[in-house]
Amino acid sequence: MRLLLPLLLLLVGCAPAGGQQRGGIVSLNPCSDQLLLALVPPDRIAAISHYSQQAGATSMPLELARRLRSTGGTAEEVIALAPDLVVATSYTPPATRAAFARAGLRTLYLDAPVTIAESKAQVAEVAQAVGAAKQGAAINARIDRAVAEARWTGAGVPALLYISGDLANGGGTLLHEMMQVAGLRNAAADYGLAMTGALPVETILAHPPAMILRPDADGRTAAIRRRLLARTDAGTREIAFPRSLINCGGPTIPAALERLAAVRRQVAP
Amino acid sequence: MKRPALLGGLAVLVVALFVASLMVGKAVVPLSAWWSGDWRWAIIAELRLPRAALATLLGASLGLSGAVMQGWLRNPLADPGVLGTSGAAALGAVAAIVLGGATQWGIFGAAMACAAGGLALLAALTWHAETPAAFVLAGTVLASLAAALTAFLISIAPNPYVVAAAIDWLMGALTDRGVDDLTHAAPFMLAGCALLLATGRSLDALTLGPDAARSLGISLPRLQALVIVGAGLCVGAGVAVTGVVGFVGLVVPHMLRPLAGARPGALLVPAALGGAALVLAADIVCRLAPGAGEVRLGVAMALIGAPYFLVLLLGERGRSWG
Repeated sequence: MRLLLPLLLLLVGCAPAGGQQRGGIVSLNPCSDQLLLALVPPDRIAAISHYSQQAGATSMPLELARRLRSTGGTAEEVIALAPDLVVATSYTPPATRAAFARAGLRTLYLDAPVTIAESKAQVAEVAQAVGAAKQGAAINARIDRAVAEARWTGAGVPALLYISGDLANGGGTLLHEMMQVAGLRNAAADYGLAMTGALPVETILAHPPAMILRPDADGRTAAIRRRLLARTDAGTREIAFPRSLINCGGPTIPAALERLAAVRRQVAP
Repeated sequence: MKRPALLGGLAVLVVALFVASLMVGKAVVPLSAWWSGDWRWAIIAELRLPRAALATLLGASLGLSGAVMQGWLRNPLADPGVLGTSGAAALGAVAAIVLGGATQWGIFGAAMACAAGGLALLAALTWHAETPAAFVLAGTVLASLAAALTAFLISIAPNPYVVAAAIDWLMGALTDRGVDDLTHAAPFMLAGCALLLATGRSLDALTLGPDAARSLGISLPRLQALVIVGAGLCVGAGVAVTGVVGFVGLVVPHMLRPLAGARPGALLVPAALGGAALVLAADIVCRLAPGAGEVRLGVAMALIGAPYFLVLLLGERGRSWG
């Protein structure tokens, strides 16, 4: 018992220092983090999500993300920051939403867009909410330009895109539409995969794609897949595709389209 | 049923299912590819053959573990899972996935290390224990601890992809397991099976009660060590290459007991063959599912095993489990 008081005092010492800046925008999702950063100056962002500070999940430069304050997404952390606006996702737990509502916070819940049009609508919505409509329109104009530049009307090149390890990108996703625009035919969608999922190597061997795009070189089944694909006469090429272009839409779309089009040009110039 | 007829029938069933397992898959491999030097032979040799061999070994070792556990604990509801080894191995595999070592060797090594750690902890907890009940209790606690730590690891995963990979792995599957997986796991499974097969006579004696078994010259501590290390090796290696596949050890001995008779020692080989047949059959069904992917073997086994067990329990209503 005698140890308890010093221990408690120690814990109090661990709590974040008070007297911090209030107001600003708190974002609880790596995709809204990168969108906000493209819309407003960093000093208007009170906190970003902890995911943006991790290499596997971020869509912004890591050194920039690590300079910003981050939260783990709990209501307590957010309410303590007393932000003007909380940008979260439709996956936010109901209890956390209720806590935000009780604290009287202004909130904006975003869903995960699965088409370029939906992503542009989301950019406009967030831009409107943070009073940066002009910047939002500029991002959407960049997306339109990127779509026009990447557009390919020739026969689609069959390509399989992995989003992580053995997880492949199927139909009905934003990446699926971006692949189509850039002239890549989504092989996983042809196999019958909707959204994301694992594909047996046999499924791939039955109809090998012209190329495999992947962020990680060493998924669990990568070795056996490569060995067996090399035996076929399909000549499937494996090409690295950065993880930072996979996670989000919005401001990431132009760079992702540019990379997808560059990949397609390697096969169909 | 006469024992030779039972063993022969089960062996024929295993061979037939093994051959069927080589024929089934997402790719179409014409029969001519088997001898004409077609590249598609590689699909049979490098994907389907190791997979069928692994299914056979996994099923045999799980069925055998279940029969031994039920005989040793003298309880028809016992399952190799009660030792907590499968939970411990799953913890190791998830740790490798979440903490960044998700290669074939990384997952296998971490799962085997945790399974061994779990067994050591079990041995330490039950040192000098007189009754198997102490093992069940310690194993259950170990399984709960492993499950809690697994959930904790998943909760601190750095991104949602890692969570998806961990959960996908926990569901258990034989998809894309190759020769490497087979050579990693087979020595442990075979050693475990050898230890378990040596328990037959002791288990028969144990049906008369521990005192009678002792008077017949059975060393109970030796039996205990054989059961725990044997089942631990079988289950640990199984989880390390396929993920968690339950119900085999629980259901197979029940299916075969009416045919093999009540003597636990007589059930061991039939349960191994029956387990192999069940896992081979379930894995074939997993691959026949329409769509791009496969049904997970762990899910399929639970869908087969749980209803079977429910029916069994309904039929046994009013009878006490002695």
